Amino acid sequence: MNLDGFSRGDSPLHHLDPRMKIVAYLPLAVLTALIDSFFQVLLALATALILAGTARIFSRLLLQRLAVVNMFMAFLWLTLPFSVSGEPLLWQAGALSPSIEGTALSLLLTLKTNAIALYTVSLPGTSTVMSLSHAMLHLRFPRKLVTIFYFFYRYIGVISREFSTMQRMLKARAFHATSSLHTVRVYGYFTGILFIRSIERAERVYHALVMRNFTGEFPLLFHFNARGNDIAFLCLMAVVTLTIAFL
Amino acid sequence: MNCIVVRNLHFSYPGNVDVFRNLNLSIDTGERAGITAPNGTGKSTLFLLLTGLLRTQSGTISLWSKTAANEKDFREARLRTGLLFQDPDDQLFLPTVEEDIAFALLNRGLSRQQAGKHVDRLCEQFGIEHLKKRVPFHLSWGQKRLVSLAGVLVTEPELLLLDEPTAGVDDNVIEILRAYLENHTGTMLVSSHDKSFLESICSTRYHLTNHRLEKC
Repeated sequence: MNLDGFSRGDSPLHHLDPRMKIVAYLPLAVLTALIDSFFQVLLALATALILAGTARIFSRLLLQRLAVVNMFMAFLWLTLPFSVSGEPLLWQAGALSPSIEGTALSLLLTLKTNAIALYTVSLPGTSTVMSLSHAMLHLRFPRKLVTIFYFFYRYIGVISREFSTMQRMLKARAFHATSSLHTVRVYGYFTGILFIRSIERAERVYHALVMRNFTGEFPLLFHFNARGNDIAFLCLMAVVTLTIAFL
Repeated sequence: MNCIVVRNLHFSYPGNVDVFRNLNLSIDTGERAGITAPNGTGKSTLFLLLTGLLRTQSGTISLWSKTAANEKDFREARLRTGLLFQDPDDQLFLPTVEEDIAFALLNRGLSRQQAGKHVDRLCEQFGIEHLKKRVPFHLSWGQKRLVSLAGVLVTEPELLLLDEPTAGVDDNVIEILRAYLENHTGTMLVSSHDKSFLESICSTRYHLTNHRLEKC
């Protein structure tokens, strides 16, 4: 599992101070979630595409990530056009009559979601999780929140490896999933053991931290230095955000 | 002076599985003791008990002639103790090798510059300078072992507890470990299945059997 998939690169966004990226990202993402005019949303999407282009992240991996996001949106498309009352879009066949308002709302939400997903990948996504954790500490985010964020990142990979190991173990012992009670039972054990292993791992990690005098603080060995281009980027993003907000 | 004194230690995990019954142990300051034992007999548990990460059901643990009875006592003792865990993945958690090695120093309030100097010295000694900027969890097992050991040794602990330091590592890593530990002046308690490794670095040997430690 690779949560840092877009963090390696040589684009101008990759070289920016992560603190500036977070400060630029949060208001832009919140604003995009709140706006409800198509013109504003299209402007937000254009901004997202420009950011993604600047970050040079158009790739198969980006399409995969967007596919996951849009998979959730598909559920909205299955329900919203039919559940929001209004003028029928094309046809009216009993209960199955998509409305113009429902379809417009689905489209609006889809565009907003994709814009926010692209901001996320282009801005915080172009920094490593650790530099983001550092940046969040510098920005006075709650230390516990940052620690949980970082631990999640650190150990999701370990748990994912344990999952793969257990899967291989099942294959090596000639297990084939079928629609039988045996398969259900095996998957039940599998999930239970993965859960227990995760808890035990968490305990061992905590012990190792305590042994190295961890007290909940998150000391930093390296610090950031904002340069002129970081400030310029932040100012530019502030102008863009305000433009989207007040147009 | 005794560094570790354990008297009549009793410990069992939930489910009434006895790990230790009336276990006694006495390690002098500066002594280098090795522990051998079959798998699952409680070597790792003993280290966790000695550092207060697990609590005894009965018996006493004294460290540097002071009975460690509560978390405060153990917290003080941990400032003088280094514990190498059996699985380096439990120990390595920061995003770069140098940050991971510096972690305990920064927790103790050293400046970044001071911590950096210690890290550089140890990396050079272990021949892992080229790994300093690498992500620890993407290293090989042997490299992880060296980095996790560096993270423990960087504080120059007076008491070093090493849980299976040679497990799963190649001869080259074992030689680096051996060379460092032979010159280590502090008290050491090492568990290992590698008898030749223990013979080369330890002056006394114990065998854990029937829930007790017996001197070999």
